Amino acid sequence: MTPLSNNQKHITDLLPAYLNGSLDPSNAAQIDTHLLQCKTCQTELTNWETIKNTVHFAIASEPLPSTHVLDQVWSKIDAPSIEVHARPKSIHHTFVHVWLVFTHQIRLIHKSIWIASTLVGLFCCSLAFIFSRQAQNHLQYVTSILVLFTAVVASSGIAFLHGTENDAGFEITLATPTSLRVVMLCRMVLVIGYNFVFAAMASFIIALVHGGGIWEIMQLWLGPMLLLSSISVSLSISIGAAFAIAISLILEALQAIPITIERGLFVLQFARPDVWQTSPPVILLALLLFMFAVFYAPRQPRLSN
Amino acid sequence: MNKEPANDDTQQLRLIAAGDRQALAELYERYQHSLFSYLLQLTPDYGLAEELLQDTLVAIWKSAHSFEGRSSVQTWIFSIARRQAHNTLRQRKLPLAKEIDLAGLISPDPEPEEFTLAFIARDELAETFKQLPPVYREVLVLTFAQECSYQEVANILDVPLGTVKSRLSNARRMLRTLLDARERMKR
Repeated sequence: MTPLSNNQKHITDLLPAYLNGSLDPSNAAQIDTHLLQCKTCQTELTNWETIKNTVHFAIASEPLPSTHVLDQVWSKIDAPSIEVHARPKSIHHTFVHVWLVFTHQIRLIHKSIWIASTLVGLFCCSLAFIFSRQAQNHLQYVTSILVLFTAVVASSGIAFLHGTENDAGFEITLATPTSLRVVMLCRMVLVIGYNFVFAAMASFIIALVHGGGIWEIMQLWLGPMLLLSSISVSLSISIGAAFAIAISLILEALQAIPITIERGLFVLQFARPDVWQTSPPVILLALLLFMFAVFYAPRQPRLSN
Repeated sequence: MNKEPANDDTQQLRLIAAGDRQALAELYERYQHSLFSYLLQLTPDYGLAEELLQDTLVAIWKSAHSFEGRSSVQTWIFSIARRQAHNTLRQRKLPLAKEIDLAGLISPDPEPEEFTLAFIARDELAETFKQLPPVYREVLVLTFAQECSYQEVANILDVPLGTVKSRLSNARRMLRTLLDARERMKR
């Protein structure tokens, strides 16, 4: 307990302890002495005595607990502890979970991605109709536009799938137990699938109007779209969305420009149109780049920003 | 502090730690009124106070083996009760007034001789006491009803010893503020 100093003017802060008998005898004796000569502290002691009596009076009027408290205590003590056993997840449960994650990404992906893909699809269909009555060589023109726009739109859309600057729900995604890789995979399938459906519809209409096989038209854009998208998503995750789009546009523009280079820079060699075909090496390269994006996504340093 | 034989309480806790239910029943018999009246200072809800009392007893049962005798058994039990109450109130988002929020409600400290409670009716004082915020009622109950020392109150409330003194002083001032307000209402 706080010792009393000889020159202390008042001892009001010790009076409650003095009253409840918790002061040690020497301090209590000093307070006795002080009280004999200090009218202020005497009054204050009277006040504290009144407060003490009030507390006792108020407490005495408090109700008692009911008689079954102990019974409740025993039942709580005897209640079996709930242990959560991790049950192996059924295939059905896993499928439903992935399906829910997949469908819920539709709302999280930026709306402009859907709008751009739709507009490109409609644009290509319109061109097919406009040139439908024209000569046969317009087929090449229409398919070139389809290839160009499908690849650019898909790769641009996929560059903005992920990251704090592109995804409003990014922090929530990180906070959920669902793997970021599953989320990334679902989003890539959604965006590429959506572009694929629209480009396939456009190819079907072009084939219908101009004649020719639908698969022949589809293989003009399928390989380039997958390769450009996989390059775009890999660059977006490792460097940034803007850079990814810039590179995608350069690659696509180099293909569109009819230049003939026998020996040159790797980028120019890589951009040669004969490289960008729907061929097994292109599909394999695209798959490898997609896998890189999926596995690297949770590890990228920018996540810590 | 209640002058129960401390050794009895300690022995009782040893028995409880060994799984003796009768020992817990006896400890409850001894503390039921003081514990329950303390919990009623923290919440006006009778049902919730009873639930907190049950949870306190369950916590005593489960942690009796960890009692090391560094404080008295009563201090230990009241600390558990207070922790249970605060955790539950926080989880249920029930109001838990902090002293700092109340600072503006208290009148400046008058000269002690200007303030005399002795002439105020006991019922009126008791009613005014019940209007005090829990943070002040609990420090008054622990000091005067449980007769805890300042150090024991500080241990139960988990605050420095100086805070116990200032809280007691503020409780008295707030009581006066409330009595003044009642007086003005009568006029």
